[in-house]
Amino acid sequence: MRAPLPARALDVLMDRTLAPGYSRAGLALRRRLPGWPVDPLPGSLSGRHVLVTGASSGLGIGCVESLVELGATVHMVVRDELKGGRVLDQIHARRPDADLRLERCDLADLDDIRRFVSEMDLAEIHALIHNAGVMPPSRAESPQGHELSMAVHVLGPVLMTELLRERLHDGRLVLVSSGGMYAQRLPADDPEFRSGDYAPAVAYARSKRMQVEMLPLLADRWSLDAITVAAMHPGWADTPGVQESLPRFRRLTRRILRDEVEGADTSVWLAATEPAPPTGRFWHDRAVRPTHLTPSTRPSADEVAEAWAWLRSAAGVD
Amino acid sequence: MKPSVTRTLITSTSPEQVFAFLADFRNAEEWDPGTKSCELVAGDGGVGSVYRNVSAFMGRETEISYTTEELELPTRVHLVGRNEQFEGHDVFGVRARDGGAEVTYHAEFSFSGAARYAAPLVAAYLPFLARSTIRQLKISLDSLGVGQ
Repeated sequence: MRAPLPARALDVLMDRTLAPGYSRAGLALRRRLPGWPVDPLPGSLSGRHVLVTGASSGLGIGCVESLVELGATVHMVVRDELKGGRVLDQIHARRPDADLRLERCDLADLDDIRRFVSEMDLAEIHALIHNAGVMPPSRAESPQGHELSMAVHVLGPVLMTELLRERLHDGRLVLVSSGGMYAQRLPADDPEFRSGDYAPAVAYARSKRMQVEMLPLLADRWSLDAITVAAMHPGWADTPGVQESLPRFRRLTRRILRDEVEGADTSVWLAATEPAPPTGRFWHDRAVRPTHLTPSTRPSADEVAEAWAWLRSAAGVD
Repeated sequence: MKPSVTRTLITSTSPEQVFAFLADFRNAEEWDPGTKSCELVAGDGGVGSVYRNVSAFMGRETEISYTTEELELPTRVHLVGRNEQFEGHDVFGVRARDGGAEVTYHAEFSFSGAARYAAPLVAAYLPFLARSTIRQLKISLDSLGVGQ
């Protein structure tokens, strides 16, 4: 449904001025505007399998809870099984009918992803939500020697999806990105952050920019399996990442930050809404958003080609 | 400044047919209204192949040498055209859609030497150029799928 012009204008104004749109007030207001897409019905995902990575903290928990509400069988893909088990028990205590499975996989480790996929005995997956995130305080590397935020946010998700693409046929793929990427250019000549002074928030935002720039190419690639590919940003949410890595930002904004369920709203909607939304788009609060707020962040054709070649080779995807 | 334009069209022709047509840049004679002639001068049509393209660009005839930069069956075709004062990219993204394809065309230009003063003019002219190119491209692609 297309919203009337004043509602659309207000929505866009809130989006471009950031704070009003990204806060919990932004979501609360948008929900009341005409044209807000309808909520998926309870039970609409019953009998469907959904994988959520990074399911044991922050937005991951909110995402799992909302998917449970829609009746999905949710596979909580976690690195730490002990912590994941505790979270699973907590969700179970709140929702005894929840169909939850715990799966171990380290998204930073390409070998572990191959192991995970080869052991996974699911024939059909409705949706895969790449929610796992890290913000290393100093430059760190994955077991394969890739810069860690790039490994967890880009390489791991791309390899896992590639290996599961046949089982994801006709399904949905969601990359949880970040509005922080708006401030960064595609780091085509240094995706691994080897030069310059490492800063956690910059490395994080660069990896999120990489997700968003590679999104159309990934959508083309996986369109052959009829997979709907989406990236989204949750707005400003009160997650462990923000609590640990951006304490000053959190002190200033705590009262307006979204909670875990609010931050996961668009991911869950993208996984569940019918008919499938258009593929290859960047979303926030259930609407397609621009991927650039200023022309200065736009990559050249050469930079996109360079980043794509790096991604395919680093993720081991030909 | 790098003037660029991106447009998307939808065709009932399959991604594989679209790819085969676009990957052979000699077909620019058909889909690109500006191209007068285009011949393969080196390579087998794969990455690194070179084409000699003669086109009318803003009223002037120019010869540009195009090289195939990327080919990814059936989703991606990227060619780079160069002469002394010009570098241009043609990038196609092909996406499967309801049995047909959604094709995104990205054209990007950069200029050096005296030609760089033409960049703002080209930027202003690009939307018109893109419109006629997309119209012609769609006709060419649609006709490939006819009778399939």
